Amino acid sequence: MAMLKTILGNLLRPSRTRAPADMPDVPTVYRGALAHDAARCTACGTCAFVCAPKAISFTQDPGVSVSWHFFIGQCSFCGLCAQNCPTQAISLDAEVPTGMNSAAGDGLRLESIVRLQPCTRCGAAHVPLPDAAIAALWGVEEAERGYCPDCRRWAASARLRSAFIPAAAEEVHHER
Amino acid sequence: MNTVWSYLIAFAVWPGLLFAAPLGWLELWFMRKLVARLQGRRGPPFFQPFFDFMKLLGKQTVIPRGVSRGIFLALPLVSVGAVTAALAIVPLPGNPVPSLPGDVVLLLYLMEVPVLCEVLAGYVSRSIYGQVAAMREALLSLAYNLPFLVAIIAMAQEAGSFRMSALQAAPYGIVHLLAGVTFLLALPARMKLNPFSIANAEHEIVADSHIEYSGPPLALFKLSHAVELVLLTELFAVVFIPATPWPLVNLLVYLAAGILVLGGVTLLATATARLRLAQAFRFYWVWGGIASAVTMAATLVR
Ligand code: SF4
Ligand code: SF4
Repeated sequence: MAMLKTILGNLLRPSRTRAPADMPDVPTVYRGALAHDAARCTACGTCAFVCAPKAISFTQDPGVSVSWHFFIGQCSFCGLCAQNCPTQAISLDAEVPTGMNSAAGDGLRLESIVRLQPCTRCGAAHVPLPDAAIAALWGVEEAERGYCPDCRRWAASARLRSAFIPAAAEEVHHER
Repeated sequence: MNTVWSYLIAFAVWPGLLFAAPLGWLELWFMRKLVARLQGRRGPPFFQPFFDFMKLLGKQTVIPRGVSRGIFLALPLVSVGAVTAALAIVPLPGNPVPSLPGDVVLLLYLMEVPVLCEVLAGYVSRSIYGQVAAMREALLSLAYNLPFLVAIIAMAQEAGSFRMSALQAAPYGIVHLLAGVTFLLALPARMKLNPFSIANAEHEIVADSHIEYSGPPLALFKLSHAVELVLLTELFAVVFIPATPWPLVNLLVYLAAGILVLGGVTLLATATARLRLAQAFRFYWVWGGIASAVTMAATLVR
């Protein structure tokens, strides 16, 4: 009889299961699908290196661009990529991923293309550092802004050399 | 219209497959929705039983190794055929089939065929679960058939004829009431619902005796179950609910009675837990037996 009372009570109350439309709010720290900001990415490869299930990979079009790829079917939402990205180009949205079937290969796939730029000194194609990183490391009005890593290394050692041998300072000029 | 055509129409259209299948799905949906609501859940959408059927039709059929292909595939067909044929005999308003002498016996026989098919399906599947289910089903049918058969036979005795139309037209009396209760007693077990869902106890033996079935053959078994629901509820309505002279009103009353009966057994199923086979057996032979005896006595006293 107690059971009858319970189930008839259920009949009168609204359902306790929730439809997809009125699900509770996702907590802000929820790790959902990835979002990638190509403007910040330096294509350093750290994210692909730390991603155990290999959800992130790179392809390249030599001299033109590097593409960052992500496939949600392999992602375990561990958040290591976002945590290790030096430029914070990756974030894990609060968005709950929709249904996916990794065996069938469907689900969210992201691709962002990071364009290579010619070095302003030697012309070698390279991924420019994000503005934010440059500002933090060298200040906004930095003369070496468009340098490739090699020229950057060269410029740094040239500065060092001119500090020790002031005579050599004249030789150092930037071919802009 | 000649007789062959009327039989064909009764089998294929009304009250046969074309109407019985949607009606069966409607009833299945109603039961599932009601169970869900009683359990505080939301329940399936209206077309769910239909979707389930269509989905199964599109799936692959896997026949277990060492199982005879012919019998494995024939069983669901026979089951659907028999249960639809049984429904075609029930004198629902507008049924084109003429009432024959002795059609009650034919009906009772045809109604046993799906049960038999299920038992066989369990045994031929070579699955231990299927065989346990088949054994349970067979034993349970020995139990619930006592009140079930007695209820119908008592009505035949009351009407003085083994003709469905005579049963339907029998003047209303106390026997209707007693036999109706006896019939209802057998119904949960016939429909394999709690507390008698022993043959399809998914927590114990994974599924019912169709455990090795998949794809279209399983869809046919499910269809057969849906049509069986219609058959059982409408049989109850036709035999135990007094008929009015207006066929259309009759039809509505029958359908309403069917839904009401289903609501009742669903309520029972939701409120109870599964019995063991021995308990169910005892229940049917003691309480079903007493109800049967009282019903038979009432037909004799008159
Ligand atoms: S997303 Fe971050 S970690 Fe990955 S390649 Fe770009 S900068 Fe490196
Ligand atoms: S969240 Fe983890 S698994 Fe997913 S892409 Fe990032 S590192 Fe890989």
